[in-house]
Amino acid sequence: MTTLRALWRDHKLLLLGFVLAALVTLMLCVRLVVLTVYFAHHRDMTLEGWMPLGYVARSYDVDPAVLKPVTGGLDGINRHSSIAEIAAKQHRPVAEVEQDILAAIQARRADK
Amino acid sequence: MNEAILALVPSYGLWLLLGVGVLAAIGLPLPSTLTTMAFGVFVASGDVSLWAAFGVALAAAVAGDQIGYHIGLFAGNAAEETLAKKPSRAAQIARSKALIRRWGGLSIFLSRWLLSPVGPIINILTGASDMRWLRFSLWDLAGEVVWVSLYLGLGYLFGGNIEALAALLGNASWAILGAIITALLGYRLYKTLHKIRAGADA
Repeated sequence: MTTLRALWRDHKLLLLGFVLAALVTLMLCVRLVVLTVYFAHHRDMTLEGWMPLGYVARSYDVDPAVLKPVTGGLDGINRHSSIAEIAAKQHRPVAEVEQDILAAIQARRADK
Repeated sequence: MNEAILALVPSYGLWLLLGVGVLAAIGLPLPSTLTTMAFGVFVASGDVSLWAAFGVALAAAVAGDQIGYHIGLFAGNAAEETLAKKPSRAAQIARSKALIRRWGGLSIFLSRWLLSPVGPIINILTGASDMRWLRFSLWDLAGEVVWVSLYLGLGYLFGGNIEALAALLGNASWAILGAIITALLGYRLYKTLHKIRAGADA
């Protein structure tokens, strides 16, 4: 007890610094566990308009051919085309194309 | 912010990777790890060639680090001229420089990838400490090769939720940094306790 009191009296900054650093590190470790669990359960990235079809296929770990029906056989659309480009060419909202893509992926995953 | 940057990837391609890489290495709060991982996915999906992505990411990181080093070099010399007029300060500066000379190489290497949050500040400190340019550049290049390979590789392999993965890895870097600081302070505390006990026994 006297040692701790002496430490507090003469080395306040060191003691406070240590306690603060330990607390922050502990908090970061807890956050690390939370983020790891989240990552493990959310492996699929939310679809965005900028994503090319090949990127989506890679991201969702399916063969790019699975997404072929989504392109609707239009010329000039391939796996390098983004979701937004496809939506523009098909004159429909991005969200609708995204839904079709997700449906195609789900159907493929259900087959497996 | 993250989504906004990623949305620019298809329009600006490698230029975006270059810009984000340089600015992040200087110290601006831009998601360079996430952008690099996104390019890893693009390499995997066949949208970008591996060597283009690797070369641009590496060139960007090294260029940004060089800018930081030179800012430190010029600002450090100017600051030192004023500060070192006081003998006590001059001794302090000499001690800090000796410390950087001893641990500088390793700290540059590790702050490129494992402890990347402190990378920009290490660039400036190393520049200000007059570490030889060639020594800085070689350690920097070695570290950045690890960084670019690591994040391009993670994007290539995982491809899935890179946003969650980037957050996870960024947090891991801070946690390691926190653990190192806690350990150093803990060691000093232990030494001080020892001294107090020895004094009480005497």
